[in-house]
Amino acid sequence: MAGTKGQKSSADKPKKRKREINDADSKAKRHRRDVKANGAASSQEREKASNAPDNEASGTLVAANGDEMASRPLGDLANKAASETSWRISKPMGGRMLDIDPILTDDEQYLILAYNTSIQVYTATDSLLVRRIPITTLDSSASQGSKPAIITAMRLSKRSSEMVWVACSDGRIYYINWTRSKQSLWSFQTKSGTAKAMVVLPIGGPKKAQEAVLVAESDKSVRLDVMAYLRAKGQKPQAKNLLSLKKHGNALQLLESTNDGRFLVGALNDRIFVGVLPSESVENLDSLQHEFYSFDAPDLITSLDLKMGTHMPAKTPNGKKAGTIIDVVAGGARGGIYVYQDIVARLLALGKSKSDKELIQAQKFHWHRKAVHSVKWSRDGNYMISGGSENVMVTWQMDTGKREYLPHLSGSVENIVVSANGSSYVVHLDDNSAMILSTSEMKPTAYVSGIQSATVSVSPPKDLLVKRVWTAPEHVRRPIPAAVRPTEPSRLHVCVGNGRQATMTGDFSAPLLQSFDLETFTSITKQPLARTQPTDVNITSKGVPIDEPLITHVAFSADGKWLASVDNWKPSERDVVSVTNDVRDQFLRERHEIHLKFWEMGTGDQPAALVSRVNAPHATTHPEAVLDLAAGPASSCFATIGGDGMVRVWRPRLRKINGIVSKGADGQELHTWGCSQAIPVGDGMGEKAVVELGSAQPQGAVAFSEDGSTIFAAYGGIDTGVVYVIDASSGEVVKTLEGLWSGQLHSLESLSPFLVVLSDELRVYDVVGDELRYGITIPEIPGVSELMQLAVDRQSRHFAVALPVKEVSSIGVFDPEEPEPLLVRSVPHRVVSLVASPETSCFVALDDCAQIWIITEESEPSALAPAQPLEDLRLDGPTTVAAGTGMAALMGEDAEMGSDDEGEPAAAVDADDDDDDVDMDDTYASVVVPQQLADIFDAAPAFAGPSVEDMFYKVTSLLSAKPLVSASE
Amino acid sequence: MDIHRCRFVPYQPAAINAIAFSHNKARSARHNALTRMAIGRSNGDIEIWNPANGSWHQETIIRGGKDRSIDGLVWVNEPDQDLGDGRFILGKSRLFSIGYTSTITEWDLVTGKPRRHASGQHGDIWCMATQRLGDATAKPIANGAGQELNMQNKLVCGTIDGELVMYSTEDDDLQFQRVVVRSPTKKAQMVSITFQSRKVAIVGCSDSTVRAYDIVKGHMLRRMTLGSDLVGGSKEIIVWSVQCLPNGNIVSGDSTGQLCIWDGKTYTQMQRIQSHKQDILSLAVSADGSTILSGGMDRRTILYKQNSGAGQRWGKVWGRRYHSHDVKAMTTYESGRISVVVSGGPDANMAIVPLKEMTREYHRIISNLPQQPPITSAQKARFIVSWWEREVHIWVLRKPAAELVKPAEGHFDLNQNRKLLKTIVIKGDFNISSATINPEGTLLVISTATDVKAFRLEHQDPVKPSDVNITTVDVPQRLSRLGASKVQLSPDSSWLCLVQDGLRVLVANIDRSDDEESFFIPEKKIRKVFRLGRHTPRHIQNGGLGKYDHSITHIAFSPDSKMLATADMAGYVDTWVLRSQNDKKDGTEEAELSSEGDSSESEEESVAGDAESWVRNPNGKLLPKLPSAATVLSFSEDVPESQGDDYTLLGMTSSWNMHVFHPLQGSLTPWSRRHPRKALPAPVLDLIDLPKGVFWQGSRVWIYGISFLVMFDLSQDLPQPTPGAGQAGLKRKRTGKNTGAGGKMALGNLAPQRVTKHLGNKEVDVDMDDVHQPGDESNSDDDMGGTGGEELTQQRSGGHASSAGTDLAEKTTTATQRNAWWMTLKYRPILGVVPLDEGEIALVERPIWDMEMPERYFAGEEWER
Repeated sequence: MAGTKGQKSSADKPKKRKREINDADSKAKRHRRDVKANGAASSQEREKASNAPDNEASGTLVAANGDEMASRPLGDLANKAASETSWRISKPMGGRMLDIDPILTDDEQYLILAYNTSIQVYTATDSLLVRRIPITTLDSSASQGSKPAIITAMRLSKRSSEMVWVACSDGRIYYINWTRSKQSLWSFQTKSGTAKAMVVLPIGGPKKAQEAVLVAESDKSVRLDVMAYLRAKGQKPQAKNLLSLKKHGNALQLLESTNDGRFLVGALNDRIFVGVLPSESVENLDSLQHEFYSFDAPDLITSLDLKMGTHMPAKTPNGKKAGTIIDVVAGGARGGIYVYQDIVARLLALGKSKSDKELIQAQKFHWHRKAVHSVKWSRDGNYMISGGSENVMVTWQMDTGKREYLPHLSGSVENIVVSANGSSYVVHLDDNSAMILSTSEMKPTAYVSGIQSATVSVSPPKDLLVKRVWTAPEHVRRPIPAAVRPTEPSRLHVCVGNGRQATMTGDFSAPLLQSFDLETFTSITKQPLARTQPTDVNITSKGVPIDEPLITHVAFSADGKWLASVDNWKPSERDVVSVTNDVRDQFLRERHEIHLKFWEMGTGDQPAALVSRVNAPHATTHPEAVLDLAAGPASSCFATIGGDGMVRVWRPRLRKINGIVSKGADGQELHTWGCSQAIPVGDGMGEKAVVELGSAQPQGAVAFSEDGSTIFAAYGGIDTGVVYVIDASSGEVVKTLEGLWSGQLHSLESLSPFLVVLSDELRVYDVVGDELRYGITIPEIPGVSELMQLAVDRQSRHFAVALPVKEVSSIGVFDPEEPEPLLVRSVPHRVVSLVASPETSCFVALDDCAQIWIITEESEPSALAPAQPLEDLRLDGPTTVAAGTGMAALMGEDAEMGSDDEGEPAAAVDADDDDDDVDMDDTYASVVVPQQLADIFDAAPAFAGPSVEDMFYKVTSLLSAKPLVSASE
Repeated sequence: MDIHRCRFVPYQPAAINAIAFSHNKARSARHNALTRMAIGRSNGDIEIWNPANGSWHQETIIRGGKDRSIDGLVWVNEPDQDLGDGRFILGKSRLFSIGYTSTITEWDLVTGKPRRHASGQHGDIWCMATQRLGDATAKPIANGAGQELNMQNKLVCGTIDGELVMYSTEDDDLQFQRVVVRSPTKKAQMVSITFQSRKVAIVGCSDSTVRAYDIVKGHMLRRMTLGSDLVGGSKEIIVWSVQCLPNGNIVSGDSTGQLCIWDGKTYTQMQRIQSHKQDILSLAVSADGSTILSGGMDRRTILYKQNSGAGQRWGKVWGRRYHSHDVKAMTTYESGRISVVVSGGPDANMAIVPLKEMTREYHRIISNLPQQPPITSAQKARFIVSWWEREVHIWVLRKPAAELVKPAEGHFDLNQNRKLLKTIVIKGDFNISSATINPEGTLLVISTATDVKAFRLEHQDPVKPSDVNITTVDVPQRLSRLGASKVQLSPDSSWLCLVQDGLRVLVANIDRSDDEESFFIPEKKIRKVFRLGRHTPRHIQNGGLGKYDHSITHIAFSPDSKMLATADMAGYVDTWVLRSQNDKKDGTEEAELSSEGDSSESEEESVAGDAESWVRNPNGKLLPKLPSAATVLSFSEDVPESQGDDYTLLGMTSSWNMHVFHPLQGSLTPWSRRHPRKALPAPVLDLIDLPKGVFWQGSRVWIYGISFLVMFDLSQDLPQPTPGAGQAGLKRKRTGKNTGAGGKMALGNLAPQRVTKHLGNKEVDVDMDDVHQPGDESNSDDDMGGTGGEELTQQRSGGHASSAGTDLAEKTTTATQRNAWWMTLKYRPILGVVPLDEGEIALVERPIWDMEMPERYFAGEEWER
């Protein structure tokens, strides 16, 4: 982080274009904007003028469509094959890490993580994404309504370390070379068409090395079949049923094995089974005949591990000959950890003679208060490592009964993997992140995080296998606030919660703001915007979760310097049961906490600093909800509309004490934010408007015109609302527009001269022409109103609408002048957030699987940047993969990049290895953002630019943490 | 029948400080039969329990006294002697106790009194252990100190001053022998002691050390230090308990809550397990050395087992809270099938925890209430008399239950109905062993270990304490000088029967000549009555527990006061009848004079001038012996009026056998013959608590124990058990044999009860029952040993208490027919049930929450849940 600070301080510098090719296009746009900005007073006329040709071009069409089009449902449009090629939607990126043990390769160079529908390979040294291998990913071209199969298991091949086996919920088993990205997937399907868990078992001698795949499959939760499949050349794999087990319940199906595959252990609900292969080696599938024993455990099993040891040759009790000791550890859904010592020998003895029987010895360890999500043996067997929803990783010393804790992790521990040589742990947290911790110091050496926004659970949480007072929500019911900072178009800022814990209230809370770089696909920072205790257990003594404040809106100011956020919290109904009925509502209303906060964005990766907090920005007798927040396009100002029927405009002031301007630590002037204008809307009645509306929730939306001269504010109840056109400078309501929305108002955006209103209908209104261009009725699908979203791209002058259709979403891109959408595509998940990226003409959609979809115009090369396919990042260059540990290879790649005078901006450069040991003390290796490179290389035309030497040092200083001490190396 | 459910009667149990078994691991069936458990309590009581294959019968209570407590108990078993031809004398078992003084006391179990005391010039004894018995078949010890040393047990005690002292128990004596080691500093108090081998004693001290002493040479072998306490703790660690594993390794539990395992050869620490959150106070080790248990101040009992993996390390298996207070004492008992740990502490309850089958079987809590109810009643005066320690409380329940439930006079405060009339605190140091009152409530007799006192109560429908006048009645010296373990007044108040020294039965006539108002016990009318001579081989009598078996535990008078019955611990019932002088001659009069106290000889003192005298029931010798110790002996209300009639005498035993006799005929009643134990209803058979007492209602007998109340109608036959009747829901399934505590766990068992082997598509249950080593053949159990866990019982009773129909009885076919039996588990824990009036009883409960307990020390992070 330290190394990149200086280079990123250019937020206020004029934004550099990334590519020369873009310049013509963007210059034109800039010009247009400049024209607009020039005349604030007569902006409307100028707008009209500048847009006149456009209007003329489509004028007839609009006139023709007018009102007739209004009732045409969008669904019809969706069916129409989008033949136009101008807009396209990218393949999904990112996703949600699944509750599958990550794979750390034996050389500890690569980390392979399983996502919903893909596996992704990261370098373990610098946490960068190497490759994304889609397995079952559906892109937007898939037929509507089809849901992708979900990955259920992933195992590294025992024969070849370049191969992984991946099992999917539809029963397909894939055999994948993870070192190559483009390949034909070899796959087969299991007999039952399901796969719940999988292990890989090497069979055959050294000459004829093969692998059998053992799959736990079942179509019912009370049944489990263990099937063995052996890959046969060119034909269907051989299959053999090893075990069928039935056990009442509705929990998990697990399967684990030792490295040599001789010993298997698995669980079905609360029944544990152990399989022993009598012979040391197996030649073919027929001789694969495990001896299975099963017994009941005291609890539902949520995690399993086994370790292999040997008897001390000297002390063999009962004169037994030294044999293998298998110790099994099982985590329970109620928090207990059960250790079965020497289980195999005891089971075998039970099955055989009556002489030297020993009871099965179980030990119970209890610390976790909810389900044990993962428990593993350390390599030496002296420790157990477990994790659960307490955000704590617990290390149990078996000998002394002592525990050590690694507390305050950022989310529930989902998976723990101990590396092959035992020197590090891979910990997967449920906030969609994974890290590699060194065993000795418990310090992270690598950290991988996806977008941590709220997602739907692929499977019920392990904590919910037993009855709890809370439930996990099935859907994301609310759009997730997100914004792109104008100065950093590649960074998406999205509101995130604390992993799964945030979902326990039955709703998704999101008190944190994650800044996520779309180009490198790494999480940059995460910072709280509202009060939250992310690492504590947020439940009351009765087990009821405690609500966190909800961020409802975020927006960046046009210059990217300021961030405004609105958060919202009200006491839980549960907490006021002691209050008498008549005052309860009032009590709830009065204790409603609504804050409007203004943050000064730091430079680089610095967190944003809170500048001002406005308590209850809109209030009558009690705090009223802030209905919408909009950033002014020209100056640093924000507008809010509240439930009290006021539009407030907020502007910064210099902070003064006794007339002297306060200065910050670095000498910069300090600002404070305050309300500069308060404009009553709703027939100008302010508070009374609320009274008139009665109990109906007031609805409102606010938007600035592109030049900032006008504020459009929509306010009213259901169907009754009016759009007020307010002159931003005088604060007067210039005009009221009626009948622009029906039903519930979702969004209001201006795209001069149009006003786009998304309610139960989508209406585009020409403000200048004072006419409705077109209106499209949104089909009435249950739940459609929850996540309907609108985003406006002022670069390309298009807008996009996302609407959920059951489990999938439709995204449509519209030209404000054309009622026919330019693009309608279906995304196989629900889109929870849709934002337009400023400066580049593209839309970023975030779905409820934490996947990013980018909608771009093909003719717009500048917009392609965030939508780069990952392979193009050149991080998976053959050198990197082939050489593995080779530092030389990395250096070579660096050199290659350094010499790339063209300044290929898309190529993110990874931190060089030299500084790793320094960087490890920070959170993770520094990441160079393309803009920083662009800042260096595009500073001036080549003939006027600095010397090559200077540029070289600038680039190297980006890559090194300390100012080039390492240059001598 | 009307029941007054009472919870006001105070009875304060005393904390358990020490538990000791005479044989922790019985080597043979006969040793097993001999095994007794002694429990020492903080009020100085020593209770002798018979584990008896899991029935846990409290046989006697040796009463303590004021300011006394038992803090350590040790049994010394003398070696067995082979007499040839298969007979051998089992070694005598002698019981010694300490009480934080410098004195050791040996107890006589038969008389219930101290046998001898010994003390020496040293500080207070804090811990005591007996030398391990050398191998009787003797390979002589190498150092040649010889056989003598090998065969004799020494008591070795650790004192507060850090001295190790030795007492000899040779020649049936107890003598201070020498101080083995004197500590140079007085700082090291010796807290716990155990023997590693015959020569080496391991002592846990209060200065963070465990020390090994050679008691022959008298020097310290090694000092094992524990370091300092955890941060914030006290400076020095107290080693509260040490034990040795059979392989010589040492286990210690200390005030940091850590369990340490030390190598027995090198005296170095092998492993240290932090398992308790507070001090470990007690430890127990299984005989085969595979299991360790620890109990601590955090109320937990924690089980450890040895792993078979590398290093044979120990690991904590699980922990449970069986007690509601510290777990202060714990000891193991393994014999045949039985394999349990008994633990106790300030909550005064005894927890029987399965040892071998822990994690698979339920535990069992045995209530602190005494087996023989310390409560009686004066029926006609509606008095309830209860006693504990040195106090007697006399309560009156003024109105009958019928009046209380009648809504006639509006609301009647139930609390007004009872009144504490008198509290009598007796003089002297000894606790009350028994008390009795006549039905009119005018004469109260109280006995202690050293005295017998009688009081006359004058009252006329008393409502307040001043309505009762108490005057002392003189008791002749001959009656009172030895005290009595049991006293009983006859219903007509003219006879007082008492048991002296456990074996001798005396009957005194009470003279009520002065207009029925005052009582006088003439010394010359005290008679000793003699029991039937029963031959016991001398080698049995001289070994083991001696005549303890013959001590009399129960006395019963017939309702017409003309028959007297006693029962002893072996199960023998003796009966006497009252004969006037005239018809005395026809009784068998074998006036053989012999030494007193020897019940093998029968004798009758005939003193001229007695109008009436007690003679042995002519058919008494026909009465069958009860199969085990009697827990209840009672006459029914039947009184013979014509020639053929007979009394009905009920004897219940610790093995839940129910024998009803016709004592004059010397035979079992037909009902009793038709109903052996096996014919009792299944829910009754499933009861694990022993019967405590009975009361009669015509032909119905009501039997109660600590948690149940059962009625049998002796005029009706019990219904035949219908196999497979739709009772499965109510009837607890017998889940097979257990190891002496509760039954097999149905829920929450840690280790599986069942293992299935999968062969192809077949599933075979692997038999786990024969996992246990086959027990001694002696334990071909007589279907005794309760099943079912406490928890299960509670669950069931909880369910029933709320529902209206609490009976588990099988309904007879028609509603008009009376039930042949009935049972409820609604009342618990029952201290006693006493009849008040016709069809009216007072049932006294002592719930655990009513009992005062010493404050618990709460450590950080701990709170009551």
